[in-house]
Amino acid sequence: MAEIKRDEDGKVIRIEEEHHVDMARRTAKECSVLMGFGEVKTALIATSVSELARNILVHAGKGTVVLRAISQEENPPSPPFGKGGLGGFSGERRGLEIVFADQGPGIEDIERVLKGGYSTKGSSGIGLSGAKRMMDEMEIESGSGKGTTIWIRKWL
Amino acid sequence: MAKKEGLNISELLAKKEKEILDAWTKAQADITAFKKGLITEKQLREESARFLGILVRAVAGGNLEDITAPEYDEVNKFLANFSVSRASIGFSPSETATYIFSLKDTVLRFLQDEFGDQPAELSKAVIGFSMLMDKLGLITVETYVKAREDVIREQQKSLLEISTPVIQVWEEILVLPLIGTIDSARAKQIMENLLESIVATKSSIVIMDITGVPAVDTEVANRLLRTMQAAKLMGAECVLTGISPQISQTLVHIGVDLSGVTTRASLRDGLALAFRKLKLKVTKMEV
Repeated sequence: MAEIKRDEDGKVIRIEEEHHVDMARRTAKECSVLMGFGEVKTALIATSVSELARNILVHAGKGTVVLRAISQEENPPSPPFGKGGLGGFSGERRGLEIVFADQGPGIEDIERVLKGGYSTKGSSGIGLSGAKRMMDEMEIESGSGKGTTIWIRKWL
Repeated sequence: MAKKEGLNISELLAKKEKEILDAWTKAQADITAFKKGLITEKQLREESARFLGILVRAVAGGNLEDITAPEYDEVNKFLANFSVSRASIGFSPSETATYIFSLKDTVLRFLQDEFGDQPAELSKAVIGFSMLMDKLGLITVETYVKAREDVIREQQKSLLEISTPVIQVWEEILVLPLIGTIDSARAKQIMENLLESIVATKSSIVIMDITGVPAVDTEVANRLLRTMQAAKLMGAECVLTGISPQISQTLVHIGVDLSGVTTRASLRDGLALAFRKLKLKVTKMEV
């Protein structure tokens, strides 16, 4: 896969109180609409952001959400039909990436959490797995005591 | 060494308190807010005298760094009140902070006179005193911000009160039109209001309409489910209406199980269902 290019300026939202979660969701919705996502995809993105931002609040107490437009070259054609060679070949897809970072306790068993239905806080435990289903891509970097960083992406 | 600097400044402040006050008050006359007539020269001088007096006592022990120490209690208290009272008569937070900072300039001139021939001592004293005054100036800004936050919090509370009405639309039928985000505080309020209304109106059917709820994630869904469960325990059946196509698809994707809940697309359908359950029939009048 081609490298993901990230736009210079992203929107940063600090998550420290409950209303910040809603602020993150609203911002995600605005960005999504602005980028041209349809109503349903916008709802899926906004809800994913709401889930993961709430996870920051519930598990780590505080953290950061960064929203950013991204692009990626699609099926880069091999030379001599490279960029600008045969028109229509070099497609570029655009998308929205949202990063959730915290210095909380971390996720011990990522696989188990992604299966859904497992929670350490007495909630339904389907937030993270649900967000993964709602988005196109999700990456998690975490470990016990190491904090958590989650990237989610949706392509236009 | 460091201790001696502290003592020097404190001694200087104590010794020249009157002169510093005079110079400081004079410098104040240039401040725009003062010209605007928000405060009289006499008030200004009294306030300045009080602050300087308190400050001299606080630094008397030589502590110029830790403003959380007990000797600074009175300074902190004064600044908090000062910030609030200044804001109430129309000073901007930067004007209030500038007032505190302006003492720095005045005192630095006195330090210069005192230690002019000892550059090393002078620079130490200047840096120490500057840092102290910066910290104190920022306290006034922080207090101001905190006061504003309190106002916002109060407004949120009053918003909460108006935003969770429970309406009895017919005998035994309650409608709960939910509008806006459902955070934990609102969920609690909704639950309380609803349960009280069920008892008060002896209702058996509750229509919960979420047309005005912008997003339903797992947490919001759980809050709704808990409210419905509580209503059920009180003997009232719940119908969830106003689920938009987007919310419906989101709920399916995310995996929230609403299979145990009676749902209808619109409030109208929900009301029709409620009438049917109560064996009521709406007919057109024959003329």
